Parts: sequence; structure tokens; C-alpha cells
Amino acid sequence: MSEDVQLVQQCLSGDELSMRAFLRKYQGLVFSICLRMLGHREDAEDVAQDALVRVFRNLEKWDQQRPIKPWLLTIAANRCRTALEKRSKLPSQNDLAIDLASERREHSKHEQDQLDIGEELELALDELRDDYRTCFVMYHQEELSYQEIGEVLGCPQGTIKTWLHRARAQLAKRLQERGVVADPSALVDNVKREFETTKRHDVSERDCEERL
Amino acid sequence: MNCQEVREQLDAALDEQRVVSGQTNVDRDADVVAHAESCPDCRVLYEEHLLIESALAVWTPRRPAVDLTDRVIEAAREEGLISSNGSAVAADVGSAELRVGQLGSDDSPYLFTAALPRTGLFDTPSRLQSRLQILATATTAVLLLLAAFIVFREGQNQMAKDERPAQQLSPDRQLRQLVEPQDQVADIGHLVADAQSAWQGITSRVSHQASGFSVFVPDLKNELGISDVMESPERAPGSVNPDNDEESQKSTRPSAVEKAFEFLFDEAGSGNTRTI
Repeated sequence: MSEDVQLVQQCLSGDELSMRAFLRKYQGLVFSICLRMLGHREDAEDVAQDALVRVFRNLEKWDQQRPIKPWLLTIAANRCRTALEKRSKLPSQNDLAIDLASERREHSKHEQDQLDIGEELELALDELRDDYRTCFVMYHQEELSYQEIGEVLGCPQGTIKTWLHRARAQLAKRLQERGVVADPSALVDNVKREFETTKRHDVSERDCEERL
Repeated sequence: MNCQEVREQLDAALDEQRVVSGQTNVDRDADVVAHAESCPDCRVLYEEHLLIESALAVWTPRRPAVDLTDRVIEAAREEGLISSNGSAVAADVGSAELRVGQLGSDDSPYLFTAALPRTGLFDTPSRLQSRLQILATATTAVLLLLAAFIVFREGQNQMAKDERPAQQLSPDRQLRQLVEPQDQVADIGHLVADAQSAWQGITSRVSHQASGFSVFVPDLKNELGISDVMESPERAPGSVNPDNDEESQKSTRPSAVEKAFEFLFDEAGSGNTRTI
């Protein structure tokens, strides 16, 4: 019996301690996707709370033969879509972006260069269309498969692949627009140099082997 | 390699990067680089790919700190999803079994109850306790209903028995009750008849024995030389010979021996059986 199954069975019996343990394990996941989709912390907290209560209410419906994470994300995504229908989306710079900006000031200049591109990616995510952002986060952050994302969002795998491709392309454009990399063509040149270096190294190794 | 293959390969590269985070595969990109040298569109695409690949390599997905535990627990309690006592309750045997692994830290000597928190009263888990109480109450109620039903049925039967003679007897039955004394008299008559037949059987048996004895007597007379005995040994005492009245009168006079036998016959006939 897996850890999740055991925990869920104890939650089904009404054990409060087990329910608290379940929340400690999965509330971050649910809240994270809510914040990604809603872009507003208080709204995300409310929707995440609603989603988690629904999780406990319908816990016996979870198929114990399948992973629980996609099931949780499905409930959270549905609650977020319902919330989005009720209100218009907040401005582009959300609470998560503000949090990131405050953290950014705490790092040194040396660390800043390393963090820049990653944090710029985080900020660029907020400017994506909701479907693209959700798809990107579920794939690269929650590490769900195409099939699982399709089940969560109620779309075929082909659509998920298309959305993910467009999300990457738009993120790359945002990163270029923000000037994360001064000269994008330099990236290609670097790859070419690296490729040629590797090629020369292989040739020199072969020459040594032949001489021996 | 054409443009479509380049796009597919770049997407596949990002998919693979998710598995092997932070690594780029220069060897695999060799064909893409070669194609990008001659295709401006694919070069732009490849530049974007390298940019996003670099960003993903240093991107650390972060989960914003949040603690919704108390809020969710409170909401769940309002919906009745948590045990009523609000404590750490393993509500049934199944969950109790799941906690067996925690028994090592418990001082309780009891294997089953050691994993369960105490709730007072009967010192058992509240939901299990309530279930047992419900079961006991239901069983008691069923038994009481069954007992009441049995008592009711018995009372009805008794009442029916008490009322039946006065209310439910048919005229034939009443007539039969009136005739019953005569039946008893008839039964007594049958008993008397049986006794009489038994008596006749006894007397016939005695007569048969007596006849055998009467055969023996003439032989005895002959041997003793006595002449005034009756001629026919089969002749019954007191019988009349219609052919010879004088002889019959003569023979009807009993001798002393015959009187003695008659006495014996009378004794046998009266039921005082003796061994002859």
C-alpha cells in the first residue's frame, strides 16, 4: 500500500491528524497552481481552500491505482476556471511577481546574474495566456505527462503539445524582449563553437589512437 | 533535415531536458545547427530554443509559502468531514490497523487500543464507541419487539382457548357432550362383555380338563370292579338318555365318586382352579 493510499484511507475515516498531514503535503501544489492561474494571492488562497475541501469531500472517488497529483490538480484547475469566469483577471503583475521582486533585492550581484534568467522566466510566465501558462507549469514544474495534463485540462494530447510549444516560443520572445540575452545569435554561435570543439577533440583522440 | 524535423527535434530536446535537467545535448543539435546555418527561420527558432533551454536550466520552480491547514480543517469540520470529537481519531478498525506501526512508542499493553487515542467514557474511540452503542441499542430494540410479539401472541391464544367452549361449539358438539354419559355406560358394558367372554374361556378350559379326567375315572372303576358307574365316560352329569328312561333315571343317581367329581367340577367352575 502506497503512502498516499494509506494517508487517504486515514483521511476518509475522519482522522484530523491525517488530514493535516495530507494538507501539509499537497496544499503547496494546489495553491501554486491556483496562484498561477488566478494571479492573485488572496483569490488563490480562497480557491485553494475551496479546492482542498472538495478534495476531502470526494476523496473516496480517487482511483487509488493512479497518481494523486493529477487528480488534485484537476480539481484545483476546475475551481480556478470557475473563479475566472466570475471575475475579470487582475493586472499582469501579480502577487507572485511582487514576491519575486522583493527576493531579488536580497541577492548579491554575482548571484543576480544566475537568478536573472530564471526569474525573468517566472515573470514572463505571468504574461502568458492562461492555458499556455497552466500547461507549461504542469509540464515543467509539476512534471506531469502530456496525457495527464490533457486529463486535467480536458484537452487532447495534441492540443497540449501545441500549447506547450507556443508557450515556450512566447516565453523565449518575452525573454528576448526583456533583454535577458543581449545577442540571441550569440547563443547559436556558442553552440557552434562548442560543437566544433567537441568535434576537434574527437578527431584528436582518433589521431592519437591511430598513432598508437 | 527539414524545418518540420527541426521543430520536432527542438521540442523533443526540451522534453528530454525536463528529465535530465540543466543539460544540453550538443551532439544531437549538430544537425539542427547545420540546418539553421542555411535557414533563417529555423535559426530564429533555434535561438529561441537555446534561450528557453538556458532559462529552464536555471529555473527553480518555487511554491509560494502558504498555510491553509487551519482554514481547510475548519471548513471540513463544518461539513462534517472530521470526527466529531475533533481529536486524532482512528475511526474504525481499518485505520487502526494502519497505525499498528506506531505502537512502539505507546506504553499501552494492548495491541489494538494502543494506537487509538482515548476519549473517556468507555475509554474507546468515539466513533467506534458510538457505532457499538448504536448496534447494542438496535439489538435490544429488536429483542424487546420480539418478546412483545411473543407475549401478544400467547395472550391471544389463551383468550381464544377461554372463549371457544362458550362461543364456538357447534350443536353437534353440544349434542355429543350430552350423549357422552351413555357412551361411558356402553364402554362399561363392553368391559363386562369382555370379562364374561374371558370367564367362558376359563370355564371351557376347565371343562376340557374335566372331560379328560372323566375318561380316566371309568378306567379306574373297571380296575376297581365298580359297576354302578355311568356307561359313557363322555356323558355329562345330569344328561338324559331319551332311548332308555329307566336306565337314564338309574344313571342319573350319582354315586359317591360322581358326587366327589361334581364337587370338583363346581369348584373349577367357580374359578378356584386346582391342580387335578
